[in-house]
Amino acid sequence: MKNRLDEIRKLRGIRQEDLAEALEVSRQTICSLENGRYNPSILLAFKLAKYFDMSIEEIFIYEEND
Amino acid sequence: MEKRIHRYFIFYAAGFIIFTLGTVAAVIYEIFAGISIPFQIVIGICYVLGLIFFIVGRIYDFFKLNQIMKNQDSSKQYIIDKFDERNVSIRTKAKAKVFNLFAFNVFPVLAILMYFMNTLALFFILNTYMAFIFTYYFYLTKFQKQL
Repeated sequence: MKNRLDEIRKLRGIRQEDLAEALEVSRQTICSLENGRYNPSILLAFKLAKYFDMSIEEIFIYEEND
Repeated sequence: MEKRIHRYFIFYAAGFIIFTLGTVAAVIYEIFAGISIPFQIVIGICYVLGLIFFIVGRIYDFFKLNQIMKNQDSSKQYIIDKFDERNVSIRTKAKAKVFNLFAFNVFPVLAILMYFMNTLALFFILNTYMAFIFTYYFYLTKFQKQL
């Protein structure tokens, strides 16, 4: 599953550390999410969407072969 | 924070290596029975040293954790790292891999070997295997109802 997390975070000038702290996850999790190595749980996806005040679909891109 | 704890993984690694050396030595001893006394002493030293390293590693972890928990910032980070969903997922995957590897490969081979070496009775092996299967189905049913 692709995502626009890196792009959105940089656009808003937020550091990975700060995002991780706000979502109560490790910085490595944010890094893995941005690199597409890790797909978040639905709970974390909602937390991210709420944090950025966006919908999940605006951040995460579902692909047929996922 | 996890890295700080993992630095002392060296104790476990050293313990494991020494303990394995002891086990290998014991097996060699078993095959070539009648080897001189110093060889038995080496096996004993490997076993004891391996266990000591393991215990030292555990004790160090305990004190390190206490130290972390005393500090508000480090304890917060520790809790985040411990319950972080990616870390939980990694730990679960590792546990599942180890379980599959040992439950379906290592232990059956060990049990058969021990049976042929006359150190383990067949009824004990079969009973343990049945207990394993029943426990597996118990949790399978339980989780099927829960989830």
